[in-house]
Amino acid sequence: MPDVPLVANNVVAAPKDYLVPLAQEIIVKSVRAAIDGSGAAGSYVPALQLIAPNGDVMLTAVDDTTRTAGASVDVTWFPGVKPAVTSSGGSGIQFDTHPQSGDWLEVTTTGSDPNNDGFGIALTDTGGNGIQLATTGRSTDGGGVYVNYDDTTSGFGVDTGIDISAGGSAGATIRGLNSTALGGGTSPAVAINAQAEADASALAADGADVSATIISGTGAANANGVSGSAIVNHLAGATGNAIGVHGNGNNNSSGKAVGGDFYGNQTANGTGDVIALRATVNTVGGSTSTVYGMQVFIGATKVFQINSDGSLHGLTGKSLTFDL
Amino acid sequence: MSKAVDLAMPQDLDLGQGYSLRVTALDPTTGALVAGVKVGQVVITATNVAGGDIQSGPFLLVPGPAA
Repeated sequence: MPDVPLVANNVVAAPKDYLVPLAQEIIVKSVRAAIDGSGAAGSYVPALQLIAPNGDVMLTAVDDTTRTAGASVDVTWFPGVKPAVTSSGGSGIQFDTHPQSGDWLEVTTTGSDPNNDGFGIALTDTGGNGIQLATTGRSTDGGGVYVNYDDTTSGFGVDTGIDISAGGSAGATIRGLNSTALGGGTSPAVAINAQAEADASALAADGADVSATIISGTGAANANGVSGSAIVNHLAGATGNAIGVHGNGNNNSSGKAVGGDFYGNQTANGTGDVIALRATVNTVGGSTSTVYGMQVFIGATKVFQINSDGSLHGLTGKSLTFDL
Repeated sequence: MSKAVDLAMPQDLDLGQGYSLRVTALDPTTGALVAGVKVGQVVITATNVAGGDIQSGPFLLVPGPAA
């Protein structure tokens, strides 16, 4: 017995029924329907239902994908059809769905997005809610969120700030090219540049109980974590301190700096200074003898100074004593 | 142009008198009918088990090539 098509061309508001008439009996092979969602009051799923003579719904075959209001679809129902996205490996990322989880997710792109400045992958939050990358850690690569850098430009490009933090006792680590710390290689692999006008602090440690060291270097050529004007650059015309080290310890009964130490450790064959404090004084518009080269304060009281002409000056009434 | 979508339906759906096939649009959360959705052309491909002339009811029976 050949199959026959039954067609209804009229457009009606959903639902649209075909009632098997009289003494008819048919085996349904497929159903195709043009669904116009241009006037839909909300999101919908196309559905094919079998209705019993008493009005009961015997089955409902629905689309796995929700159609947004305004979307139109041309749907064909076949026996044995499976949605392509569920053939293996999960059902893909969907909006407004929580939670979405699986064993793993790898995303690789080879092209650029023509709608978002040509990025291969772009995550954009326009609602002012931020973007979070969270992890419980990783045994290699330093743990945390790992940014793999293999280009000639910096791994991070930040316009308005970046917050890198890690839980546990290890603290947060920023690694540049070849896993070296800041300043590794011939040029800084990672540059941190604060441009905020209100607070020019590029790095700040909050409540560091174990160690207040927030910059450290392990490079063989230059063991200094911070060196040179390439990393700390006091721009011309700027006010305030070019480099400020401020310790705020509450108690240290062993003596040495409660606030902070300058500690030099030149281990072998060094030709330079272990620790050097140098002041270069410009003499524009005045006598150099009145320009202070260095000053030492205790609290708010200036107790010692070296003028730019090399003269030493102490607190009035105090003597210089050698008795250590 | 509307997006073409293929969906699953039961095999060997043998329908007798009084049963209906309904094409509709449901709310994905509540299952309720979504207002404003229109259903245009519907084509049911079926085998006439009862024999004789098939009764198409409100639907049109498309004449075969020899008709």
